[in-house]
Amino acid sequence: MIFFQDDALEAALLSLVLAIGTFYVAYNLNQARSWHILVGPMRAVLADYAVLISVIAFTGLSYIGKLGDAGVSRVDVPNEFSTTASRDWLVRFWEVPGWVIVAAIPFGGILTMLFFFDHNVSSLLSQQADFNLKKGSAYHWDLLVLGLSILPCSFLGLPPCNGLIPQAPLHVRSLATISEVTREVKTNNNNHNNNKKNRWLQKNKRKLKRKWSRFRNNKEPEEDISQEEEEEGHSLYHHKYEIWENVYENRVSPLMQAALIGVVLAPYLLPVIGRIPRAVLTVLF
Amino acid sequence: MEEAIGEVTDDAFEGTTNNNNSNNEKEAKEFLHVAPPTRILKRLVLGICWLGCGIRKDLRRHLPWYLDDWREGFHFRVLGSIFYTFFTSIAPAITFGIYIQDATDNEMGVVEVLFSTALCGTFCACFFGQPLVIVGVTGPVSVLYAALYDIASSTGVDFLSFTFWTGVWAFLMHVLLAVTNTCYLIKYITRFSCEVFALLIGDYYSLLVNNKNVERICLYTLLLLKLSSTLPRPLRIL
Repeated sequence: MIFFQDDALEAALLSLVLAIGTFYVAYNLNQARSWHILVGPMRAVLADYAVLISVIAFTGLSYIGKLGDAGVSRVDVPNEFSTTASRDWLVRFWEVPGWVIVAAIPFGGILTMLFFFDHNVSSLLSQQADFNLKKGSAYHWDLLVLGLSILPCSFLGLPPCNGLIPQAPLHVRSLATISEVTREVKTNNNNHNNNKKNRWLQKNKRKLKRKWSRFRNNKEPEEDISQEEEEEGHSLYHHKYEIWENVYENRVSPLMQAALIGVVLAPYLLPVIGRIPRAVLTVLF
Repeated sequence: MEEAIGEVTDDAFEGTTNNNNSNNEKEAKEFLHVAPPTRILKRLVLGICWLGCGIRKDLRRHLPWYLDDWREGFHFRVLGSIFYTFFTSIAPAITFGIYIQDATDNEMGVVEVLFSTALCGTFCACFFGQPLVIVGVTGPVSVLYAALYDIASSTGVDFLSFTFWTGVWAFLMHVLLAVTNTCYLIKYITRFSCEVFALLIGDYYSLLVNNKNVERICLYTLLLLKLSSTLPRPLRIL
C-alpha cells in the first residue's frame, strides 16, 4: 500500500484497518438480498446503497476518540469551489509555442480512439437486445455530442468524459422492471439410445405413429404428439433468466444525477468530501 | 443507399445469452465468425461517400421521442434510480480524481473531475440520442492524462495548454468519425470483445491501487472465470 511509504506508522495501520473494514462491510451488504432477516424491500435498499453505508460508517469511525488524531491521509480538496492549483479556470492555451499544437495531434488521435471504442462499448452494453428498449440507438449523433462536450472541458482544463462501463448498464438496470422466470431444461437421457434400432425408432417416432394411426383408424392422429415428446427425459437444471419490461427511457435521471454531482461542489458540501479517508475509497471497485 | 449501409442492430448479442444445448452450435458459429476485411472496407468507403447519413438517420429516429423522454422521467421509480446512479458514479469519480491529482502534481484534481462529470453529464443528458448512457471520467482517460503530464513536464510545456490542444484535435476527429458513418463498424463488435474491454478497464482499476502484480493476477483469474461462461462449450477452460 502507498500509505506505508508516506504516512506515519499508526496512520498507515489505521488506513489498513479502514480499507479492509470498508471492503468487508460493502461486500457483505452487497449480498443482503439473500439474507433471511429484515423485509424484502429493506434488504434491497441495503444491497443498493452498500457502498454509501460503508463509506459513511468508516468515515465516522476514523473520527472517533483518538483515531481522529492519528493523521490519516484524507481526500485533498480546496475549501471552496476553485481549481486544485488555485489557478484561473480558463486555460492559457495561446501562450504555447506553435510546435505544441502539431505535437498534440497523435495524442488527440489516441484520445479519439479511446473514446470511440469506450463509449460505443458502454453504449452497446447498455442497449442489449434483452433489455427491450423501444426508442432505438443513436451512435453517430452520440459521438458528435461527445466530441462537442470535449471542447468546454478543454477550455476549462478538465479531463473529458465518456460512457461509464459498469455504471451505464447499471443505470439502465435500475430503471427497468425485471421479472425473474425459471424454466426447466430437459434432456433426453435415454439409455436405449445406444441401440441403433432404438435410435432410428426415436427419430422416426412421429412418422411411424401417424402411419399406424392411418392404418388403424383411417384418419390423422388427434393427440398432441409434441406435448408427449416434451415430457420425455428428466429435468436437467432450472435455467433462470430475467425478462426486462418497461424501461423508463428518460432524460431526467441522467440529468439529475449529473446535477447532484454538481451540487456536491457547493461551498458547504465540498469540505465533506475532504473528510473521507483515502483508504476508504481505494478499495471500492 | 441506406439499405447498402444497413442498420446498427444488437444482433451481436443474440444467441450468446442462452446456455442451451441447442444454441451451442449457433453460438460457436457466431464466435468463430469474423467479418471479412472486404466488407469492412466497403462500409468505410460507403461511409465516406454518404457524409452525415448516419447522423441524419439517428436524428430522424430520435427527434420524435425528445419530448416524451422528458415526460417519462416524472415517475417515482426514476427518483430511486437518480440516487442509486449518483452514489455509484461519484465514488469512482473521486477515486480517479485522487489518482489524477497525485499523477499531475495538483494541476488537475478531484474538483476538476467532479466539475467535468457534472458539466458533461448535464450536456449529454440534454442532447444525447440515447440519454441512458451516463458519462464520467474513466480509468483509461486518467491514465492517458497522467502520461500526458509526464510528457509535458519532461519537455517543459504547460500541461493544461497541451491537454487543451489534445482536446481540440480529439474534437475535430470525433466530428470526422461521426460524419463519415464509422459507427456502423461497431456492428462487428461481439460480446466477447466487450468483455475483453471490460477486463482492460478492470486492469486499470488495479493499476490505480498499486503496481503490485498480485492483485492483477487475482483480477484476471476472476474475469477469466466470468468470461469462460460466455464462451462456447468446446472452448471453455474452467
